[in-house]
Amino acid sequence: MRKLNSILKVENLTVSFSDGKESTKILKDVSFSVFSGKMLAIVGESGCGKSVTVHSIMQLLPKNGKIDSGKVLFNDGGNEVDLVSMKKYGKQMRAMRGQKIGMVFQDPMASLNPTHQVGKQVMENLMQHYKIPKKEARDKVIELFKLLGIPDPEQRIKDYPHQFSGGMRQRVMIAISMICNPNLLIADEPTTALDVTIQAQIMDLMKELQEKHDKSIILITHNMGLVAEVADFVAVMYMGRIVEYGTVRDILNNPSHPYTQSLLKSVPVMGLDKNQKLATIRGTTPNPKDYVKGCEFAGRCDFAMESCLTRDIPDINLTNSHQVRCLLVEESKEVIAK
Amino acid sequence: MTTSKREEMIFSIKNLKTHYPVLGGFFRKQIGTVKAVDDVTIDVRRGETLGIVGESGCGKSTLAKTMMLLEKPTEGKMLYDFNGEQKDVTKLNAGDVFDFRSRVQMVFQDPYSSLNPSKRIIESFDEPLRVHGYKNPAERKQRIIESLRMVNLSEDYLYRFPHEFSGGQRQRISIARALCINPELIICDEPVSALDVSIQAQVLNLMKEIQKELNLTYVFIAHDLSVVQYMSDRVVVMYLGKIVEISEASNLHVNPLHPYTEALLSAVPVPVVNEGKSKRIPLTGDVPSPINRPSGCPFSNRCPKRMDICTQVEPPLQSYGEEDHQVACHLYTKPI
Repeated sequence: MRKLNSILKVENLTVSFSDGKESTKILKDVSFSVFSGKMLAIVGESGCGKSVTVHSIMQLLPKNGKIDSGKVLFNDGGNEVDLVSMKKYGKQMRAMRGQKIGMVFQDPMASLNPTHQVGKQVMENLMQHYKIPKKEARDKVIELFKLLGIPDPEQRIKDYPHQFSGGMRQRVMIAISMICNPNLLIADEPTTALDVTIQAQIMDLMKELQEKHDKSIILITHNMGLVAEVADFVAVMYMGRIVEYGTVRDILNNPSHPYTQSLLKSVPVMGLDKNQKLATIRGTTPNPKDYVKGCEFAGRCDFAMESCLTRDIPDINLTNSHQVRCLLVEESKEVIAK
Repeated sequence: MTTSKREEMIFSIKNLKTHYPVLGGFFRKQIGTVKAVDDVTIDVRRGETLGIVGESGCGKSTLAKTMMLLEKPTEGKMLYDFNGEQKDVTKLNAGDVFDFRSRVQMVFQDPYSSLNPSKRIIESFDEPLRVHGYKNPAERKQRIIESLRMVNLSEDYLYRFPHEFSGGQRQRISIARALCINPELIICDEPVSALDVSIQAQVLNLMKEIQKELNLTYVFIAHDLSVVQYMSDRVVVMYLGKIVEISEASNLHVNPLHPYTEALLSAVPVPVVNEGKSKRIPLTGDVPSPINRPSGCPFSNRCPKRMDICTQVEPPLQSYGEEDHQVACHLYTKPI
């Protein structure tokens, strides 16, 4: 296996949000790498911090959100730059957004401007970053629309967002993020608002972009099925922490964190016997304000021990690629070592 | 055989059509029709869960609303079994509609907008009970506590407001509200699609338990094929206002007949690492607008197995193989 170069390295990222009175840690010590030409999926339920993670990378956090510590090292054609050290609205950061790192948002209807032609909206991004004539930009957009499978692109660039279907709108969003040819694409739940057959089309397209055009992609999703189909690496998040990280095989064939295990078991799969009960995770996601110490998942975990609540939980390497943040694994490893 | 079948029937829908006019032009004349539900015939049997699945815009929610008499059907009959007496609910008088509503209840998709934010839980529950003839306040309160217990919520929650609950709890409250007047049939329109997976599993398990305990009948509508399959006894697949296939739930993924069902099944992502997995059947294009549907079979313009006849003649819904397996596709049409 050839050695993988990382295009993005996130190191010990900690982010907190304040509500005016107190500040709450929403991301705690998040570290991961995105390898060049690979797809990393960040999985978790709502409120686990997966969107906050990518918004921090892009420095798009709302005013009450603050990056406390950590580094986001982006490989900009050989130079390693720390995105956190850049000014939020500075020239450098603005050059990153859209040009070096593209982003696709969840709801295409809400993120496209309904009063502008879509062609114009795609061109806008290109002309922001490069000084090229309008006609050339237009041709580039048409070319990209063709690549992304939007039929009749010469005509469609003059249409408005409401004239597109949900799937086509999402293709336009991908076009906006791709037009400057960035190496890293961040897709925040790109198919959640779409039907399954359209979702399949969009995911095939993203996979093609990644494989044929050698893009790196961060895919945020809550759908384990999607992860299995397209991702190369997976990070499972819970309450602002990455609880398990590994290749897609590690996570799906050998899930080691109790949370990952129950997440996989609680989705019904085709052909599941009707009389069989679904596995559930008891209780609900706690409020991040109530967190004191130990493992975030301990209150809902079936295997929780006393030490889970009192100790700091280390990241344990199971294999070179597979890390898990759980005391159970540490214990079983110690037993094996003895 | 036929008589025993009829006894099982609780709600039988015959050739139901719900069309909406499309108005346009200066004088707002009718320039077209949206055939949201077109010629749908389904029998709901007592005690079963009938799943309805399809993509957005296929008419599944309109069908549910029409069944609840929230939309007026354009044509067709809906026969409901009132203690052995079949009555067409589209032609009921006001008193009987009342009776019908106490027998059939609905759970909506979004637990955030289906509970009144300015009312305490007990107030939200109190109204349907009062309307449906529970005169005694103490009795009403008792009934509310009972139905909350059924969904594993304690009576401490009675005087709270909806914003104090999480999404999963709210959906359980919605279910409890549907349960409190003791219905026979509950129509659930996407009850879990707004919930996280771990919470979704809790609600699905709970719904199954309640069904067993109270011998309820469910009409379960969702777009997630694996959820519908898991919950249902029989599954109805809809496309553009039409039923394309009705199948035993356990048989659906083993032996799908209609090309649309096949494509839909293959598009569902499975959480198993990709090795020797069956290949996806790609569907090109989008669902056409229900205003100008393709002639012949509604699926004909996207179908990978299209034949000449498909664009000309609309295939009827017929049994194929077993009696309970019906499909509307020319591939399986019997020669007349």
